[in-house]
Amino acid sequence: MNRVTHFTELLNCFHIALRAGPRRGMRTTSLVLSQEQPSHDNTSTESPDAEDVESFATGSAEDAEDELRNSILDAALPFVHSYGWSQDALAQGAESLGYSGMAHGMFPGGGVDLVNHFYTLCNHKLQLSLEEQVKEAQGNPELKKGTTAFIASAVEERLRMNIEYIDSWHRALALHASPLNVQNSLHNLGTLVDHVWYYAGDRTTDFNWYTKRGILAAVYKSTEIYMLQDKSEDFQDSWAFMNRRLSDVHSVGKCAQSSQKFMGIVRDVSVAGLSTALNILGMNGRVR
Amino acid sequence: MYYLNQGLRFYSTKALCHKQIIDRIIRVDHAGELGADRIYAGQMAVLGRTSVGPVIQHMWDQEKEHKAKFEELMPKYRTRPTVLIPLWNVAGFVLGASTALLGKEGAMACTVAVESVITDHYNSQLRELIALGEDENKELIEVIRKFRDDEMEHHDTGLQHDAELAPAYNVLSNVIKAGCKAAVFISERI
Repeated sequence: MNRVTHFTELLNCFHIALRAGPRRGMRTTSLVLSQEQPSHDNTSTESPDAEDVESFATGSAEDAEDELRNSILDAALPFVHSYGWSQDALAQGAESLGYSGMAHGMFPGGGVDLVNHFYTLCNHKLQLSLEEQVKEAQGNPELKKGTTAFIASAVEERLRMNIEYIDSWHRALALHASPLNVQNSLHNLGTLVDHVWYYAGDRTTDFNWYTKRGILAAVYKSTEIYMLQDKSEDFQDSWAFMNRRLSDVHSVGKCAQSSQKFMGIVRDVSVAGLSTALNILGMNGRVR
Repeated sequence: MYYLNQGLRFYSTKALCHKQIIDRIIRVDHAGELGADRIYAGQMAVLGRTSVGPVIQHMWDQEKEHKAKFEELMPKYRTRPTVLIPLWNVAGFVLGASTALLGKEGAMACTVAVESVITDHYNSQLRELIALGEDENKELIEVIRKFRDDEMEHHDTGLQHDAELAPAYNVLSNVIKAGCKAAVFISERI
């Protein structure tokens, strides 16, 4: 009897390890096992979905690991000036916290993880500051800006955060442009423009959601690239460039409006066509 | 809602997973209600002045309410709409109008097929949300529960109005169900 329970337990371990291994990396497997072990009796009755949900809802070990990663990334940022967006900077960061320099192995992406971390931090900072601005404007209507002015100042604020690393920023852009990292870089850019539009008061739920964010992303990215070779004082040329792009957007907006009118006409024509077809088929209201 | 206000750091698996699930739920539900709204619009364009007109109008009004609710929730939870909105817009109308052209039984068969898929879908979402934490997602759970009941009512209304007498009922119903499931699958992802 005892042997049988051992065997099933072993099978269970194997099963969990198989599920957890590739998803979390083998490092965490032992932790996950020790957590899930006591409850293994009823896992078989639960659906796999419920199990998934549970495993991350109670994953304090994962939290600790995330915290560790974030602290190493934070510590590595100052080393970017001398080591670039690289594994070396990560290793230096880990050593400055008293961990082994080999800890950079926790970041499979190497330098690009550092870039993503910096991007996410800045996005978060921007979010907090925009939230603050919106709150202030609510209390004091005089501070309220027009939508374009708000967007211009938000984009400028965000771009100014990059100035700290402007010397090596072209490397960061190159890392982000690599096809392997496209998903993360698009996600970062998407979050950024979403914050700006959201706090500018945009509440669209139709396809315009995408056109608005796409246009703003184009403005942001082009200004970001323009900044790389801007030698003017306090990047004045960049801000002028950005404002010119934003005024271009106005003409795009007009174009979008007229295309919307056109779509309205298309719809009217198709409705008319449908009712004509119904009349021909004799299915109009009077027959029934 | 605490996890929405705290910034999502680059390495933060838990908060990110949670947010992704909520995002997916709201996105697909909004797409579904939009599709339903368009289906009833198509049915009304054809059957608006017949005896079943008021019945369809009543269901349409409820769907409009549902859609409005999700449009309110979307900015609140900072969810993006699905990319395929223009497609569902047209596809919903075409589905509604073409089944209505088969007669009122056809329209009702379409309603029954769609609503049965949607009810199942809402039920599985409810299970998922409850597993995720009943208190944290209270608002969403209540909304979905109410809408699930409305959709169930539409399903029964359809059956009462002779849905099963539609031409080729089984084929029609299965094709529409498969289409709905495919639409749900796609809308959850993009």
